[in-house]
Amino acid sequence: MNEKKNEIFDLIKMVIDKKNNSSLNQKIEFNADADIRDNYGLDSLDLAELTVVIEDRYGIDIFETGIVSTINEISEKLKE
Amino acid sequence: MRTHEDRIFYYDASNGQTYSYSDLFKSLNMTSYEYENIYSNDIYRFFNRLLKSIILNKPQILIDNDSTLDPVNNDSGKNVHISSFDHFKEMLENSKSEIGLFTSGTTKKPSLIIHTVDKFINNARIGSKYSNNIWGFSYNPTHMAGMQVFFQAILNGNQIVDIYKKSKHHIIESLLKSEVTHLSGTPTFFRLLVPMSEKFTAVSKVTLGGEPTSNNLINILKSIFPNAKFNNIFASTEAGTIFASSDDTFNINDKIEPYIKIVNNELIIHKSILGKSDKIKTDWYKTGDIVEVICDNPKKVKFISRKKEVINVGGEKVNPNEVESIINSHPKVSFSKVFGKKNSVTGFLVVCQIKKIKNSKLSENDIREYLFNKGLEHYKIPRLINFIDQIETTKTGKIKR
Repeated sequence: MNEKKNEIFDLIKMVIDKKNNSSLNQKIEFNADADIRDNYGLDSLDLAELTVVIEDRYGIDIFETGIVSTINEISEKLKE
Repeated sequence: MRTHEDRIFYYDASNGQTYSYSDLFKSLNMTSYEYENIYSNDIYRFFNRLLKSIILNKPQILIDNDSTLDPVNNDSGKNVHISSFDHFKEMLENSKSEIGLFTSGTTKKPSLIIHTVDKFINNARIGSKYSNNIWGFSYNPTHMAGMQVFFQAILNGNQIVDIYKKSKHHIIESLLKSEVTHLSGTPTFFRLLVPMSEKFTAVSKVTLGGEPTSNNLINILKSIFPNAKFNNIFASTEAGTIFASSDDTFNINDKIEPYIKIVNNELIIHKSILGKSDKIKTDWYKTGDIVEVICDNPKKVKFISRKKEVINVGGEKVNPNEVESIINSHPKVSFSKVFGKKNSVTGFLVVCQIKKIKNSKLSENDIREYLFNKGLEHYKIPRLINFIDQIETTKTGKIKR
């Protein structure tokens, strides 16, 4: 279970890195309970990208039935 | 001096097939078979069958290989008797036949549009000054653009050099060997040809049509076809050619103005200049083409995109053609295709496929940075970039979306 949360975190890091062109050496901390938008500064486009890469990887659209806000919630959605 | 009959009608460099006009007349005169629903696997044979129905005043429907219509043939016992090129031309000009064409189905299901043969005849320019034209035929002959080139060529007794679906190598060989003077194709066709080190000095006219083109592409082509005049055609299966220009803007002249309306940036055409079709139900037909009015007097427009191509990213509209145009201006990019990827957050997201120039190094970050520096808004910059080898095109040589 923890492995999946780490994978999700990696995907979030990838989205942020791409956004900043890896030029910002931001230290991003793993926090499974924090709101990913507030905590990681993700805007709607970032979220859209995240859902697309998650859907491509796991075959599940995490936002299909409503907004998920934390890594924990995303991980729960992927279990279903 | 060669008579018209001795001149070459059709040439295929990939297999050396050559037919003169007298070969054509001979084969037309010889057969009593008639064909319905014809397709283009063998282009010379296709032209034969089409011409037979035109001369016999029979209607014809042009289909692609995957059509639900079945080709039909029967020995009707009816023969034609062509005695000379002038006789042949006269029969075409007097034909009461109709030709059914399917729309390209780029953004919707194909529908059948019927045009009279005399519409094609009237659109062609016939005269002795056109008699030495040699046509590079790259269009699918079963659709509007192909038909227009076909009639233009045959009414003037010109040579048609078959470069439809040929490899780049054969296309180059054909253009050089046959000394093609007139080359027509979609912007996608031309983009797939470049970069090219060869120069084709015999080409005096290059015509682009079927998709929005960019001045950037025209400039690249100008160096490959240094003696050519450039023509950009705005046409559709429903209407035939509506406007033409030498760059990426179009003038709406006095003749056509009464038949054109622009509402909410969509081009709307009066049905009196369109072919017959079940789907043209009202007097004014919505083309689904989005244009920008550049100038009011004289009226000048620029084609922006097909309505259905527009990508809606969280309410912001993105024109994939615009983004492709900028990506394609990158020196290491050969070709790109921009489209929308569905998602539950913003509706759609801009993503793209890119074909790099051979042996070049290019990363996703390079592209994103390039687009950012070109001032492209953040929601237009593709979020997912895939580097690929081949980009899919449609039956009419346009990017498949």
